[in-house]
Amino acid sequence: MSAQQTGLDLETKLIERTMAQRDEMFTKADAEAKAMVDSAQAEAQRITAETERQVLSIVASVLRGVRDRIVGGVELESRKRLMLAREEVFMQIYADAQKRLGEFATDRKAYHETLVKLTAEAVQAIGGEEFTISASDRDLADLKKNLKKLEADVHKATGVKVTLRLNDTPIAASGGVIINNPNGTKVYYNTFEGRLAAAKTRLDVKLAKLLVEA
Amino acid sequence: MEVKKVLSVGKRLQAILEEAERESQQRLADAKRRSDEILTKARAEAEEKKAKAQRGAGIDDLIKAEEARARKEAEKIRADYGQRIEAITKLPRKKHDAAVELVLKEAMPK
Repeated sequence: MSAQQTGLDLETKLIERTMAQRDEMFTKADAEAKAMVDSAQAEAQRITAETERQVLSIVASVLRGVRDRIVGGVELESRKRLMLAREEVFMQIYADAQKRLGEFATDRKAYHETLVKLTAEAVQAIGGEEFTISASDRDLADLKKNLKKLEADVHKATGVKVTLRLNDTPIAASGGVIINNPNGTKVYYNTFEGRLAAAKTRLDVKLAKLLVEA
Repeated sequence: MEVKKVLSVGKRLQAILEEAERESQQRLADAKRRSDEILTKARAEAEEKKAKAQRGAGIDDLIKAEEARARKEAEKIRADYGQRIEAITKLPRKKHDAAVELVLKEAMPK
């Protein structure tokens, strides 16, 4: 083998090795470039998907707002109308009950029995033996005549021998009494109006149910 | 003479490798620029879509359909409440009397 041939072989090997190195550099760079672009595309897809989700949520929220504005307004207004209608019916029921109580108070015999019960209830609630009794103008006139009978009937009902004193100042009530102890530290409001007001707080739910079932 | 020739080839090959290195770096820089463009575009489109949705733009038809649906629902609610109100205000006498009796029973002493 000549020296010239040896030189050519060496040169060929050098060229081949260099070209292989160059190809390897390109292959590596292309792979890195592809990975970079692929990663960016994947991230872009993730952003797009996330945006779609957010847009759907925003659209749903906008549509919910549209619905709430229309339906919510009507519902609120209707509920208010229902409440007012119910309140009106309640007021009529209580007014009729009040009227019936007023009428009942004119039946002196039955009313006296109720008056005894109302007084007895107050006497037991306050405690003691001496009480001042306040009543309407009409009842005061009757009580002045029947005070002893009332004391006796209350005694019979409660077992307590009571002394009742009439307050000459009439109260505004369709029936019932206000009882207080002698020094006025304990007062028991047992008028029809007071009892109706107390009943109202207990009965509103029952009445509402009764109306719903109507 | 032969050594000189080999050195000359070596220089040329070194130049080829240097050029290849520059070319590789250029390819990476191009990829980086393209990646940045892809991401910038995706982010800009996302912001635009969200802003449009928040303005309600592009969903006019959906909004109109929802309004129509809501009005229908509202009418039904109004009618339902109307029936309930009518039932209450036109309470049968018997029921009314029963309610009054209930109140009296509660108000009168036992």
